[in-house]
Amino acid sequence: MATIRRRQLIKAGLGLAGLAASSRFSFSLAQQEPIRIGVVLSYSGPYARLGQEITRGMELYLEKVGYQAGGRRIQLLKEDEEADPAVAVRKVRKLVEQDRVNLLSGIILSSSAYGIRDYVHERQIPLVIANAAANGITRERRSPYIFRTSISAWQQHYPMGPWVARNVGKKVFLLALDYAFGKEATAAFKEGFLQAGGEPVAELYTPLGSTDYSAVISRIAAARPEAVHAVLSGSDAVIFLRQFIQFGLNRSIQLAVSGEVTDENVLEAIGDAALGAKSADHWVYTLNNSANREFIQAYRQKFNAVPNHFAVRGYDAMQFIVDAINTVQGDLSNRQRLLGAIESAKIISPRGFVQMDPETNNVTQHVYAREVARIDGVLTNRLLADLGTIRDPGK
Amino acid sequence: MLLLLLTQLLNSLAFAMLLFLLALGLSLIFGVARVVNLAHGAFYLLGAYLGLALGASLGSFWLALVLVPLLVGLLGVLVERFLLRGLHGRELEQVLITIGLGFILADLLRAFFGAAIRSVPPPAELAGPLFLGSFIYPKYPLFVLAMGVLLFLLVRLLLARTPFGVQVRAVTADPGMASTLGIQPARVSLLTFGIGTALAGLGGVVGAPMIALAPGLDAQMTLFALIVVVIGGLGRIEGAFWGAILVGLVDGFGRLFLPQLAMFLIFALMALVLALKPEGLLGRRMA
Amino acid sequence: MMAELSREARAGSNGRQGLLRWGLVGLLLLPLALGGYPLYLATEAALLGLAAVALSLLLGHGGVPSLGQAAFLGLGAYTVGLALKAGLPLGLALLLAPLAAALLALLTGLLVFRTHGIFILMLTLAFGQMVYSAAHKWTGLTGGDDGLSLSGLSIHPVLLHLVAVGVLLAAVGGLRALLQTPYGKTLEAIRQNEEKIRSLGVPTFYYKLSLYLLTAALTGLAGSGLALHRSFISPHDLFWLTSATLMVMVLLGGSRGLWGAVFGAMLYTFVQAWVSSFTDLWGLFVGSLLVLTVLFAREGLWPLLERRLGGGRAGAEG
Repeated sequence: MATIRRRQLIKAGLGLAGLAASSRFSFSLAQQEPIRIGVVLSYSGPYARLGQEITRGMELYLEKVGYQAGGRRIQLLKEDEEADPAVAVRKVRKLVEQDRVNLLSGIILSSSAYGIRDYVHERQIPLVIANAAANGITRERRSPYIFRTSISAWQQHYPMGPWVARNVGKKVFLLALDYAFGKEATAAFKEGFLQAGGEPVAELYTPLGSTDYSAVISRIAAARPEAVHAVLSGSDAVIFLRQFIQFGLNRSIQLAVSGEVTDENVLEAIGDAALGAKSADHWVYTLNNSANREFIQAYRQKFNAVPNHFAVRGYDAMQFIVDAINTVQGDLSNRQRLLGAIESAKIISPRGFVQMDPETNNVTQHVYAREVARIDGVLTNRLLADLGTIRDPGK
Repeated sequence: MLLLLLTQLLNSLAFAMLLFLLALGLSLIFGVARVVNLAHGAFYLLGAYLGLALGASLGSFWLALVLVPLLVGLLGVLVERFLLRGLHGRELEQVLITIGLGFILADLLRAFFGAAIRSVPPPAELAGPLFLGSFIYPKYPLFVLAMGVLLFLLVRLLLARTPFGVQVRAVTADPGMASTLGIQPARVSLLTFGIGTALAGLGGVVGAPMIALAPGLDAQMTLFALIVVVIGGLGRIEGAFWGAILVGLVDGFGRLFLPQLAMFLIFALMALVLALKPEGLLGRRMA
Repeated sequence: MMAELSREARAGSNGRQGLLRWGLVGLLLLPLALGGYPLYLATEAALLGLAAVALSLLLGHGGVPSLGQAAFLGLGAYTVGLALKAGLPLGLALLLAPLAAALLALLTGLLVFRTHGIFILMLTLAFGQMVYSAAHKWTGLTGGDDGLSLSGLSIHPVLLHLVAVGVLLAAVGGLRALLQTPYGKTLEAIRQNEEKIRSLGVPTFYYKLSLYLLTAALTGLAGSGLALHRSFISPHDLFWLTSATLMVMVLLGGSRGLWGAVFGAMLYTFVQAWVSSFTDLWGLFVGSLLVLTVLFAREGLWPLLERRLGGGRAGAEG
C-alpha cells in the first residue's frame, strides 16, 4: 500500500514536472520554430518571368520586416508550378503533407487555383492567391480558406469600359487571348463599355502563344476603330504591340488596353514605340504615396530594374500574411483567428487603399487609368485618372 | 478588303519563309543523316538569343546575321560528331538524344538570358513601314520574304551544281549506293548537320525581329518545322518550301478568318495531307 | 553438361530478374507505409506507368511511334469526369473511359496505319492536338482551360493506390502473356519486316489497328485513374508535351519488355518531382539524364539494371 502510494506520488510528481517542462518547451519552440509559407509559382515555362517577379516582391517585403512576424521567423518554401495545374496540385500536396507549411501563397494560373481549391478547402490551409485572376475563384468557387490579394479579371477591366467610352472613343475593337482570362476580362470591359454607350466594332480572340499578329492587325486596320482594347500578356503582348507599330496603326488608332499589356516587362521589350498607350490596372509607377515610393526605391536598389505589378502583387500578398501573423502574435494554432486576421489585415500598399472584402475574400482596391510614359529615364506608366474603389460583386 | 487580303498574303508568306528556313535545315538533316532533330527549335532559339547578344555588343544586325549561323552550325557539327555519330541507324535513340539536347539548350538559355520576353528591333534600314500609295506595309517582313526565296533558289542551285550538292543528293537518295561511289556518308552527314543547324540559327536571327523571344518558343518552332516538313515531304527542299508556304497561308488566313481555330486548322491540314498522301505532298516513298 | 549448366545459369538469372521486378513492385508499394505526399506521387507514377506500358507495347513491340497518347489519356480523364458529373455510377464511368479512348483510336487508326515511321509520329501528334483543341474550345462541356473539378469525390488514397498498382501489374502480366501468343509473335514479326509478313497474306493493318485500340483503351483507363487521383482535369493533360513525356518515360526505362516502361515512369515522376523542388532548371537535369541514358544505356536503364544486378542478358528478352 505504502509502495503504491509512493509510486503514485512519484508518477504524479514526474507528470507535473513533465507538464511544466513541456509547456516551457513548447513556449520556447514557438519562439524558435519558423512559420513556413509554401509558395507555388511558375519558375519555368512561359510564365517564368511572372513567378520571378512575384517572388521578388515577396522577398522584398520579407526583407523589410527581417523575415519576422508575430515574434517568429518566416521561411519561404518555393515550388515550381511549371505552368501545369496538375503540377500545382502535386506541389501543394508536397508543401502541405511533407513540408508541413502553415500557409500557402502564389499561384499564377487560374486553372491551378481551381485545381487545388478543394484540397486546400478540405485541409483548411489558408491560401493567399497572389496572381490567378479568374472571377470564379472568389465567386462561386470561393472558400473561407482562400484569399485573393491580387485582382479579379472583372475588377481590373470593368472600370475601364466607361472611361474608354468617355475619354478615348466609342468605337472600340475588342481583342483578347482565347482563354478564360481573356474572355472574362473582355466581358467585364464590354459590360462597362456598353453601359456608357460604347459600341464594340468587333470581338476577336486569338490563340495563346501566337508568333504572328499581322492577321489581327489587318483585321483591326480594316475595321477602322477609334481604339483597340487588348487583353494579352507576355510574348503575345510584345509581338502584338510591335507589329501594331510596325504596321503604323498607332498613327490612327489608340491603344486602350488591359494593364497586362503595358506591364513594365513588356515595355522593356518593345521600347519607346508604345508611348501613349492607355491601360487600366491596380498599380501605377507614379502613384504618389510613401509606400509606393519606398517600394520602388527598394526594388530598384535591389534588382536594378523597373518594378511591375507582379512584384507589387507578391509584395502585398506577404504584407497580408505578415500582418495577420502579427495580429495573432505568431500563434497559428487557431485557424479561425488566423483567417479573421487575414480578413481584417491593415496593410499600406504601394497601390494605395487595399482592403480584404470579408464576403468574397477578394481585395477591394482602386483601379487606375494609366498611360505609357518615360519617367526618370524609365519606361513605365503614369497615372491619368483614378477610376475609384472597385469591389468585386462576388457573383 | 482587297488591301486586307493583300496585306495578309504578304504576312503569311513572310512567316512562311521563316518556317522555310527552319524546315529546310530539318529536312536536309533528315534526308542525309536520317535524324529527326527535335532540338531544332532549340537551335533556333539559340540563334535568336545569340543574335540578340551579338547584335547588341557589335552594334550590327548584319554582322550577327553572318556570325550567328556559323556559331550555331559549329555547335551542330560538334553535336553530330560526339553525340549522334555513334547512333547511326538507331532512330529512336537519336530522337531521344535530340529531345534531351533541346531540354538542355532551352534551360541553359533561360538560365543565361533570363525568362523575360526579349525583342530585337529590326535594323535601322529595315525599320518602319513602306508606303505604296494607300498601301502601307512594314519593310522587315518583305526582307524576310525576299531572303527566303533567294535562299531557296540558292540552295537548289547548290544542290544541283556543286560537287557537295551532288553528294548530299546521293546520300539522301541511297546512302549505301553513295558510299560504293566513293562518297563518305559520314563526312557529308557531318557537314549537312552543321548546315542544317546553321540554318536554324539563321532563322533565329531573322525571326527575332519578327516574333519575340521567350522561353517555350523552342518547342513551338520545332513543332512548326516538323509540320512543314511532314506536309511537304521529308528530305526534299522543294517540299520544305511549298510546305512552308502552305502552312504559312493556312495559318495566316486561318488567323484572319477563324482565329480561334488557327492551330486546329494546321493540324487538320497535316492530317488531311497525310491521309491522302502518306509521304507528304512532294515526298517519295522511302523504305 | 554444358546445356544443363547454361540452363541452370539462366534459371538463376531469371530468378534474380524476378527479384529485381519484385523490388520494383516493392518500391511502388512502399509509400503505402509512408502515406501522404509519397503515396500521392507513387499513385501518379503507377497511373502514368500504365500509360507508359501501353505506349511501350505499341512502340517497342508493335513498332508504332505514337506521339498522340495524351489524347487517349485526356479523353479517359474527361469521360470519367463528365460521366460522374452526369450522375453515372463510378463503375460505369470507369468502363466508358477506355471505350471512348478505343473509339477515338479506331477513328484515327484507320488513317494512321496507312502510313509508317515518322509520318505515324506526326499523324498521331496531329490527331492528339486536334483533340486538345477540341477540349480547350468546348468550354461548355470541359470548362476550357479553367479545367474540370471533381468536387465531393473521395476515394481513399490507399485504395486508389492499391487498385492502380494492381491494374498496372495485371496489365504488364497480361500484355507479356499476350506477346507470347501467336498474335503477339505475329506483331513482333510485323515490326521486324512488315513487307514480308504482308506478302505471306497476313492482314498486318488489322494487327496494328487492334494493337492501337488495345493500348488506347489502357491509356484511357490510366487517364480515368489520373482524373480520380487528382480530382481535377485540365486540357494540359491532352497537350502534346504530355505525349512526349510518356515517350521519354518509355525510352528512359527501355521500350522492350514492358517492365522498362514501369521503371521509366517511376524514375521520371520521382526524379522530376525531386529535382524541380530545388531548381527551376529541372529541364536541364532531365535532358542530361536522357542524353546520358542514350550514350551509356542504349536499350534504356531497365535492361542495364537487369544486366548489372539481375545477371541477365540483353533486355530484349521476352
